[in-house]
Amino acid sequence: MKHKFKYLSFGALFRLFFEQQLDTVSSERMMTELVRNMASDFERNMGSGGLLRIKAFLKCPAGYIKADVTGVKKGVFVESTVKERVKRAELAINIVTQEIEKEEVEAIALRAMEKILTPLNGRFSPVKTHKNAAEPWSRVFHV
Amino acid sequence: MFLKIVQVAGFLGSGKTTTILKLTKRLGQDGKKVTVIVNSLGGVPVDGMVFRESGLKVEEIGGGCICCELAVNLANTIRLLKEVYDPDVVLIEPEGLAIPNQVSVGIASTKVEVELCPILVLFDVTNAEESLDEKRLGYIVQKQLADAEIIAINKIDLVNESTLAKYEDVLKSVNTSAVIVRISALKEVGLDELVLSLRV
Repeated sequence: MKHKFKYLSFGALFRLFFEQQLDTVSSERMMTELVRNMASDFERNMGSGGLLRIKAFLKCPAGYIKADVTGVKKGVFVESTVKERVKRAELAINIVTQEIEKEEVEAIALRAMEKILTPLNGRFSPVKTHKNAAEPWSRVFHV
Repeated sequence: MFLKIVQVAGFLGSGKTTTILKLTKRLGQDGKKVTVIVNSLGGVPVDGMVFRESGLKVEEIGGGCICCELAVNLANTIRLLKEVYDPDVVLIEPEGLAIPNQVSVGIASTKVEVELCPILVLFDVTNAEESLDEKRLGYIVQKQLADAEIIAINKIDLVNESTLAKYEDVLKSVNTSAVIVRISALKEVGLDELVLSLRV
């Protein structure tokens, strides 16, 4: 059985580092803004009627923050267990979408990372998820 | 005793992960050993990370959909969980575009003796009109709902009674035989009735 339509899924893992530690409010806000920014950018690229699901997961030494959005009209849902300041963390992002090229998805995600992290003096570097992967992103097509 | 398998299906954003987290908590309180299988399309299984952070035993099936190309992986994963953890219940979270009956075929092909609990499909009532719109992705949502044996109208804390009643009628017309329950997984409302309906 095959799905009747084509959609794409992208996943990527990043290491984050902040010059100054982020407090809990700032780290939650960062995750909210990151997902919101990506969702807005997707809307500009694909219109408001398309399929979009973004999940971001920040794993810190003491807890996690999960932020997700479905579609572009709804708000970002955030859940946090982090009660300490954050200096280093790992960020996983998963995006399911349609009608958009892989390169555009990557560009949108990286643009959002730059935009949100730079004012926070944050840096990020991709982590390869598979040994032989030439890039951190993975993707799946269903037709 | 047969291993009970619960499929918690539903469209993207319908609340599958939250519902599974709350159900595992409930079942754990009843002394049941629960494990989770989570399927995601991408190579970075965010939901699996959430389950693991909550202390759950979880197996991830990534890089495809368990209702089609990864059905064999699902059957093997159930067998693996049985051998390693010997749980009472396995909760399965298919990815949000999966077709529930196809997932059930994959479950049934496992070598382990299992008891398939009623197929649970979640419906996000706050996104009802858009998700049922056939010009968009409504045909997937309707297919999922048609396969359900239990439809859980989720996020009921965010809408009023007249909206709930309206969409309950719509869902009854989409699937005339499914049991319909109202829940708010996040607020843990309606979960007792849901657990009873699932017979776990």
